[in-house]
Amino acid sequence: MYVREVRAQLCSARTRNGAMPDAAHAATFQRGRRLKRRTAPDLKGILFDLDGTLVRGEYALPGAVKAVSRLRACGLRIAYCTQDSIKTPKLIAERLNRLGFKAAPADVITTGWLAARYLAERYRNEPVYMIGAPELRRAFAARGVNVVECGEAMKARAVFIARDPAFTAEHINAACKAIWSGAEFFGVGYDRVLPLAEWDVPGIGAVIKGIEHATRRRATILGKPSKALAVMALRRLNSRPYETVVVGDQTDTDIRMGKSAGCHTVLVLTGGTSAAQLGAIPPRWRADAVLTDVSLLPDWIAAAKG
Amino acid sequence: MGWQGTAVEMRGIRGIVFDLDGTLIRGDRPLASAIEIVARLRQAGLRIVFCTQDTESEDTSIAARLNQIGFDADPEEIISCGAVVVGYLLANYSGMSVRLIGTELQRQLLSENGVTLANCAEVAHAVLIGLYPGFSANDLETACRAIWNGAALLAIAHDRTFPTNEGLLPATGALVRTIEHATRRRARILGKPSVHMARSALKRLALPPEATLVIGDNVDVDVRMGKLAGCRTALVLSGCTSASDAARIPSRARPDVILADVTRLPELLRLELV
Repeated sequence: MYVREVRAQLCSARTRNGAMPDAAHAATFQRGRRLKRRTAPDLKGILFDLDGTLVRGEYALPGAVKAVSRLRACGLRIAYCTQDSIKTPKLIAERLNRLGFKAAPADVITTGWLAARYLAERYRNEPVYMIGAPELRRAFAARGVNVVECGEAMKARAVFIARDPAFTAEHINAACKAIWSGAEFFGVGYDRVLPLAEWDVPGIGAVIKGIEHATRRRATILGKPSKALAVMALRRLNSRPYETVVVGDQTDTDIRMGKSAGCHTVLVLTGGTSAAQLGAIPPRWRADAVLTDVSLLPDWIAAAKG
Repeated sequence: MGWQGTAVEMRGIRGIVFDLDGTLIRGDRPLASAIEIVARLRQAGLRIVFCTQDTESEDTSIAARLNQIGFDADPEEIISCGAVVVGYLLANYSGMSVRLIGTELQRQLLSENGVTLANCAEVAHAVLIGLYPGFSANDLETACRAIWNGAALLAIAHDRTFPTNEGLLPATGALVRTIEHATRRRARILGKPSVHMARSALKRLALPPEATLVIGDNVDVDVRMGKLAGCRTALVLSGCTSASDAARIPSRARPDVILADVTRLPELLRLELV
């Protein structure tokens, strides 16, 4: 049904611009593939990454608000999934609403809070050492995890690494010592870059890789691209993997999560991946389509459905 | 413990590259018989250099420290990572600025030797990662931003850990790996096991690699450097590698010989025949 609506919107776009949007943007569909005809009519949900895909810090990316509202108008369900482990889902939903996206707190899936839930189940009342922002530490404490300081890291049963804008070498040392003393090692994700409003900063994955190098241990990833997160998001969208498109700016996290969960994937170039880096992506993690930005997504979905 | 491998392989050795910590000394003290062995090797006419990852002191002060311990070392016999880094930067980045992520002592050593250090990351042509136990999120960000702006990524080492009095701590390699992951770039390593270090040692010895033995206590650092440069290699078990670690070394990383310590080195080299 919504195909007709997308078509109608495309027609209106054509009359406005005097050209077919498909043709105008053909060059940007670098590896565009058509969705399988059989599954295309079943498309029900879209899972958006936030930083670098829809927003950058406190700003919405150009065309993002309109693209999301167009997709929602077509009857697609929208959820947001962010590796942000500092803000609460409620705060993020408020920010999204302020920027013009419609979002209920339940539509926002943050890996920090997912991790808090997971670790609270496994390590209730047990010492856990974490690198993370004060808000997240409080969330852990509120769920009954005994969050220990640097000095007591050796006692920790688990180590969890999330984003803390104020971490120091002392925290890294404490994390390594805890892991050498036998603590389980968890991380939020292998993000290389976090695109903020003014500039990019190194992603939390960089710190996790550094600790892995020193300890020769692999972290268990609780955020993207973990399966647990994908399952949670699909449940939220109430759609099956083949009925879902995952849209993100990073191959290692967003696209990988989408692919390993069996979803359709779209990579955008407004965040952690530049056009020059596309060639370096291994074939198995290549997204179904690469778009320069998210404003082209409604047209791509319409085109992909044929 | 005897040596594994055959002494025949060791014929024709005319120079030795010694690692210091864990091979000849531990902290401020010589390891058993190390002083006599070095003296005996010298007497037999072998050329010797001492090769250290130190990036905070001048070669003269390293030599003075060794002399205090009892080795008869000349500053000309010291191959330090600091000097190699200075040489590399002056040769490749002269007139350009380098951003150092490292200690105050490293900063002093570099600037005293004529390297231009950048205070502002945006203008740096290269970022050099030193051993920096006090780095913060801010340093990491600075380094990454400079590299995203086109600076080259250099590092003194890729070591995973280093031993301290309070136990193991993550070493330079952890910080380097962090920056590599964020920037998708590979760091150029200037200290051991890089060819820069090996080349410098071979040049000082004035010997071809086939006539040189590299001896050290770390497989990833000392033995690897020797192998990369085409030298003969010996591993000693008096430092960070235990006998059980040595048994697990994969074949391509295995040294030519494994010794308990440097005591039997003259026998191994058949010095009485030389």
